[in-house]
Amino acid sequence: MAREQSADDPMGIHVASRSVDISRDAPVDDRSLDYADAADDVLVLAIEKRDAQALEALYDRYGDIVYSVCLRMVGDVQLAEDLSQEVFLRLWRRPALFDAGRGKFLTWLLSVARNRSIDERRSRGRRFRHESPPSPTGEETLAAVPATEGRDLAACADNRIVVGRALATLPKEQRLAIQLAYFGGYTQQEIAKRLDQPLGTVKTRIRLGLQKLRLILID
Amino acid sequence: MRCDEVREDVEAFVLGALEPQEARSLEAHLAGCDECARRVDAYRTAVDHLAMSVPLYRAPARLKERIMVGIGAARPAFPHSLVALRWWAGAAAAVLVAFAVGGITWAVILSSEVRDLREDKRQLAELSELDAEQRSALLRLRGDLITARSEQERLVTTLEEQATFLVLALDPDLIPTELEGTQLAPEAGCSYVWSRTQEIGALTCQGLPSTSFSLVYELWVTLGDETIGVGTFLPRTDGTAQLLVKLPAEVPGGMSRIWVTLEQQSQTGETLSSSPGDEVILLPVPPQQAAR
Repeated sequence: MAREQSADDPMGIHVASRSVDISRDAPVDDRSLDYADAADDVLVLAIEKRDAQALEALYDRYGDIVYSVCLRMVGDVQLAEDLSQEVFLRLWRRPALFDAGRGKFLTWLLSVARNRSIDERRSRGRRFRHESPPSPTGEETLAAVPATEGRDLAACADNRIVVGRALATLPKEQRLAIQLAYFGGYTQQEIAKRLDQPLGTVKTRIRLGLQKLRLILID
Repeated sequence: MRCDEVREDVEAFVLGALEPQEARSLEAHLAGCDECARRVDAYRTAVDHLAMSVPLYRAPARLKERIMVGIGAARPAFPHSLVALRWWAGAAAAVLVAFAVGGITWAVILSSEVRDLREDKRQLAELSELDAEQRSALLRLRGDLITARSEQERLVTTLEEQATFLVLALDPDLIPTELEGTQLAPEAGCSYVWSRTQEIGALTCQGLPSTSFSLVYELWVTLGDETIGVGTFLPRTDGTAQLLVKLPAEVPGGMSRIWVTLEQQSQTGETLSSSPGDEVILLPVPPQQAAR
């Protein structure tokens, strides 16, 4: 039986998908599964039963944002495409890695995309800073796509707006330090070196910035 | 590590910004301290949502094809036919049992039919397997073709750009402007040429410092009363860069007519800065200096 997820969402916002009270042992009747409207958790269970349409449905929902996270982190369209493919193939091969009891599927999926991108950056010695920028290369932003076509945009638009606004409230220096750590995979010491700032200053920026983000998003 | 020390580093830990040794020590503390573990979880929930702040881009259409080919799913669902086959085999077996009760003759005939049915099933399975292998090979080939087509498109774009640079280099009416690095990039230098016949400007730079992932160089021009950002670019690993811009009018030289700045990519990603920032990297060489 479906229920809205927002009740237990600490952010007080919800992704436009539903969670369901269903265990991994519960049967999934593939013949009656409505892929377009099925909850993420149900589709993951169907993937465990090797249902390719379930993976396709999750890709239709979240393919763009997974690609966007990879692109933001590595700054290279071809590499972002390869990494996104790996993320979904990993979901196909090991769907049981997602534990519905520990959080939402999209949050988990994006953390897989981020971790994989960080690994790639590190394995390549962080030379991405020299490569092509993501924006002016002709890639179409979803902002220009009608909402009816941008399904994954609709699926996480609420969360994106809330997080975007929360980040916008931070002073520029705090926001930059957090973004360098989160999207760049840099340590505090590396950030201090890159920004030519004392380590203590960077630590303070990260601490204050994240405390404020937590207050806005969680408390 | 004590709890008060953990509190100092918890934010950086959750962001993954601690040095590996610091992170290991904090993890060891968390294993035995529920209060600190709860604190970390609260921050982790906030941090996990940061990924959603990225600018959204449309994934290339071929990505979905690559994934579906990768899982071998871009084919009709065979399980339905196998289910049907199993159903028929089961039904035949049931009929066999019913007739066996009625008489040995019927049983012999029907068992023969079942054997035939099983043989048919085996042959069908072999055919399906063969068919699946062929389909799989074709799909792999299709995936390779898609990748090759993508690479070809990229190469064609690069070649077209290089061809434009070559055509411009041969244009006798080129109008050149030299730009030199400011104190932020003293080693940098660029040549900007504008072709009257083609209404295209070409910027060629060398000695550019590398940028962080969130920064990008932007070329600005002033046409009349309007200042326009005409293009962004990043340097290659050797500090060189090229940029082609479609400009309908000549940009005269002088300190404020054409210049390059370092810009932060916007949070939303839809557009870059609408006006030039303070971090000016390249300015035109003053006319008297250029003449020397």
